[in-house]
Amino acid sequence: MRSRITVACLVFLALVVLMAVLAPLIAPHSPTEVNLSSAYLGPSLEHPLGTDASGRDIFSRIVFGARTSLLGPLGVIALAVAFGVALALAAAWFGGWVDTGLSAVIDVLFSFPGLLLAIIAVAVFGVGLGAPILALGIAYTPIMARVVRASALRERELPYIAAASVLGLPARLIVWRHLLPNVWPLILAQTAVMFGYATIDLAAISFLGLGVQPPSSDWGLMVAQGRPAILAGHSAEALYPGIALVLVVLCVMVLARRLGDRAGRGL
Amino acid sequence: MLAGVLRRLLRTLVTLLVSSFLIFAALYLTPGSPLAFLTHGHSLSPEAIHSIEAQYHLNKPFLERYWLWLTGLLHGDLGRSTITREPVTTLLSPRIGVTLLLVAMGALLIVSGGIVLGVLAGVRGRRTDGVVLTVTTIGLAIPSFVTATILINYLALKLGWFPVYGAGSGFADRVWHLTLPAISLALGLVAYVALITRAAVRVEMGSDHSETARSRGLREGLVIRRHVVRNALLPIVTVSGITVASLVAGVAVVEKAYELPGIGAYLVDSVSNNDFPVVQAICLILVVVYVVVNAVVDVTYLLLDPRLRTGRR
Repeated sequence: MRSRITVACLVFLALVVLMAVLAPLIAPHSPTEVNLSSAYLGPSLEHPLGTDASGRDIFSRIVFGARTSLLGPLGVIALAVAFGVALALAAAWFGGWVDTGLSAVIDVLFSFPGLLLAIIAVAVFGVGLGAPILALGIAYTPIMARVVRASALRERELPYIAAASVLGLPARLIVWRHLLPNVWPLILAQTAVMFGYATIDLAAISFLGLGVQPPSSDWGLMVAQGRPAILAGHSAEALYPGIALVLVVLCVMVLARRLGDRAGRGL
Repeated sequence: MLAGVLRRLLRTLVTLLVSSFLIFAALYLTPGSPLAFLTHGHSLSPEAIHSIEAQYHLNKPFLERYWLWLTGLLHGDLGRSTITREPVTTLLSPRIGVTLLLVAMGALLIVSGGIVLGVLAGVRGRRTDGVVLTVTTIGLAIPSFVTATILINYLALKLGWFPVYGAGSGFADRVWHLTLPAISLALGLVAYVALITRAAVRVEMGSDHSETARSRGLREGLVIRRHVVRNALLPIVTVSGITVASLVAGVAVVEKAYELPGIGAYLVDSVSNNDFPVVQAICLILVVVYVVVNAVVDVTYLLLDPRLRTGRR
């Protein structure tokens, strides 16, 4: 049962990634082509999920929206993994004042909620995905750093590290070739969790109108743009991209939990 | 223990100083000069430019500027909006009540809903556990603005049980208006607290002291109340507190989704309008609340755990 759910999630995510990559081939219509005479159409063969206020095909917009909705969080976790792992390994390996100093930095970073940092970044650098991605990458760094540091400290005391030191291997090689591979499963699990949260946070930024700008399609932005139409009884534009978001995050979270179990720390 | 508490308070103070410095310094990270940024590139009258320069002490050295800004804050001076020219405190005071009530209602939902669901899942049989686990996993995956859209569409518009937008007037009406927003704000965090509670309760259910109590013939209900829940309380209190603190970060999204006149929605509007003093003030308020609640939770944890009372850690 559990493995069946895991496989289902993997397949679903693979399909979404494929959809994002092959968007121009899969989408039946242009995501930005306005046709006011066909506004608010119901689902049909030509428009599987109907059309929005400007007569744009909702399904095509969701297909293209998958691109920014997935690439954004990928950028966030790339930054957080790079910064977080580097900080954590340096702190755990050198110990002493390096560890104390870096841990203090990590503590202070922790005091900033990610979404708030992203909003400040937009206020300073202007709307778009760049500033929020950088801000969230920094905000997620301490989470990764704490997890990896704790695990690296445990690994450091194990005999295989001592053996490698006795062999006279340089520290860089020990950390890179011996310590890191053993911490890797944990990093992977934590990365998956953070991808889920980054997806939610970035979608929220776009929902607030501070991220991806119209007429580009992005799931968070689509929910925001579809809200006025709800009052008139047309809920398709706001609901479907929201459901797409929830399904992607749900699958990522399920996979993250499996990876976490395999890394030996069940929730 | 006193040393532990003092150390925690000192760290909180440092964190507050550093985050206030970051919020202050953000202005100087802008591409272009701070003056151009604050005036949105418009050419203003010399008096207007002079007043902005005076407000930000732009003709003083950087660190002195920070010091003047910080002491101003401590005297209740949050600056003036560059759009309306009114003091930020005047602009925020009618809006802060909505946000406070929203956060309070969200916190109530987290503490009651999360703990009840978690204890149920940990104590009851496999079926209850399975249901709670599924519901919480889905709850964690739903962004607050999607919850808001769904609740507005079905509960407010289709069924007409709740108002769609706005904050209402009078206390009862306001609580009614803020019910759906509070649910949207808290849902993911309720799920999180439920998961942590479930894990903590499960550990205690199988612990030696619970088994001993059972073998002495105590009724299961009593074992759960006296032995399981009481011992599981420590992680639960910690996590509930931390999640209540992170409610603060979510208010902007939920207030925008329900068009509530709170400081979160005002933060987003001020970012869109480039009203930087307002952005700084609201971010500062939210970060201070977040840091202080976290510190209170940590200190409570120190006070709650009898093992830490001997002074050794």
